[in-house]
Amino acid sequence: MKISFTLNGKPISRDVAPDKRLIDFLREDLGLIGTKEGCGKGECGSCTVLMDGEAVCSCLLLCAQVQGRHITTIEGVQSGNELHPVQQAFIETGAVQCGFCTPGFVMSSAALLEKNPEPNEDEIRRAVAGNLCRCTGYSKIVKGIRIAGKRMREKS
Amino acid sequence: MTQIFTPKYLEEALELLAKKNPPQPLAGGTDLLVMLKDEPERFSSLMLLENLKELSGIHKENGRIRIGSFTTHADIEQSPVLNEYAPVLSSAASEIGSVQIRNRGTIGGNIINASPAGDLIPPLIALGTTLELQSAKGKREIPIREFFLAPGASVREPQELLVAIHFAVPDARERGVFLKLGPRKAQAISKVMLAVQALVHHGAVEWIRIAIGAVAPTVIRAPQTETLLQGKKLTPELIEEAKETVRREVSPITDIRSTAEYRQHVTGVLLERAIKSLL
Repeated sequence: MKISFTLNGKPISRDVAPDKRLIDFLREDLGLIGTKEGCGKGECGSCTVLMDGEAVCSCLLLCAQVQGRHITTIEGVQSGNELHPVQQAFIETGAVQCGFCTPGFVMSSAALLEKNPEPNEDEIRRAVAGNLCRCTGYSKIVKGIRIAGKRMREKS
Repeated sequence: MTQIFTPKYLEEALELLAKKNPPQPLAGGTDLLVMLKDEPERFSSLMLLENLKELSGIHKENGRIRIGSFTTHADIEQSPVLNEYAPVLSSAASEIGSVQIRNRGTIGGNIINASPAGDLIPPLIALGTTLELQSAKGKREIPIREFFLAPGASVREPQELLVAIHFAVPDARERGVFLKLGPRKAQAISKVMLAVQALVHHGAVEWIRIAIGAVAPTVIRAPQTETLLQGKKLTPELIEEAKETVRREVSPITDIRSTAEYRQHVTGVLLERAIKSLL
């Protein structure tokens, strides 16, 4: 099946099995291995990407379902050589330890800040409740998201 | 390999379902794609509902609220119409899964899965919902209370598609409340959840509907408790009696998520909290 959609701002069109999961297409066919698979069941959020700006699990999407949509992965969040404010803030606050959950957290946080640039702690925790971290702990991640939001507000 | 159909119009989808060995409709996929991963041989063909505009949207018209079956939990959570007229439903949607799950999971999928722990089902029962099913042969409407047969089983025929969910616009004086108990706030399958829709006037119950999930093979109503409360003033003694009555109306099991004893006990606790929040 021919699948056409927008990936990280660029149109893409490929022949792909329509029942292939988006995460497998990204990682195996396109070599975009920044998106991680943890549970493969929508529980852990490691595979989070944005579809039309909304956080979704790429392990719970078939290629046929992204036809005509806009998909953004971790490879597409920086602008030029500049990291996304969430990525930069995570480095500074030490929100990254083993790093496996990090791309998913960055995507969920980016989706939140796009809609709500000044989230309170509850809103932040709710926005990343679908992302599990098993080593860094959540305090530094929450702090990073708050700092990123502040910088994004100052910039705009 | 699983065959995938991507109909563009409702008519086309209903024709596909009218065939021998009809495809399995796939809505948001938050449950079905997990099953597909575990047992790929279970689904020889799937039919995507993504493109069917007829299944989307939340409308208030002619005294009814109509929700298209492909409406996501996120859309229900954020709907101004539902937040105003049916907060029992929008608050239940806001507690499902996580942002990622709410962005994809749909009200239709939550109903069709027919899980006794489907979080939107108690609010819909409390609201007196009617389901609109359609096949190539025509439409039928069925009260949601008559829809479920057993865990995972409903009266939907394989050639039918759930297209919409309706309920009468609740009176502005009605109150609704949804309470869910799980191991954590997010990503939790309910141990017990309870929805109440009621009209309480000067501390007395004019009428009340109580629906409870994960305490029986299907989501149930609590008719004896409803009858007990109807027309009475909500005194501490009456609430105590209602707790005991509702505990007799449930028949929970012990499983990996909880025990029968705990579920039975906490059903009464949730009812008490729900009733007190109506006052």
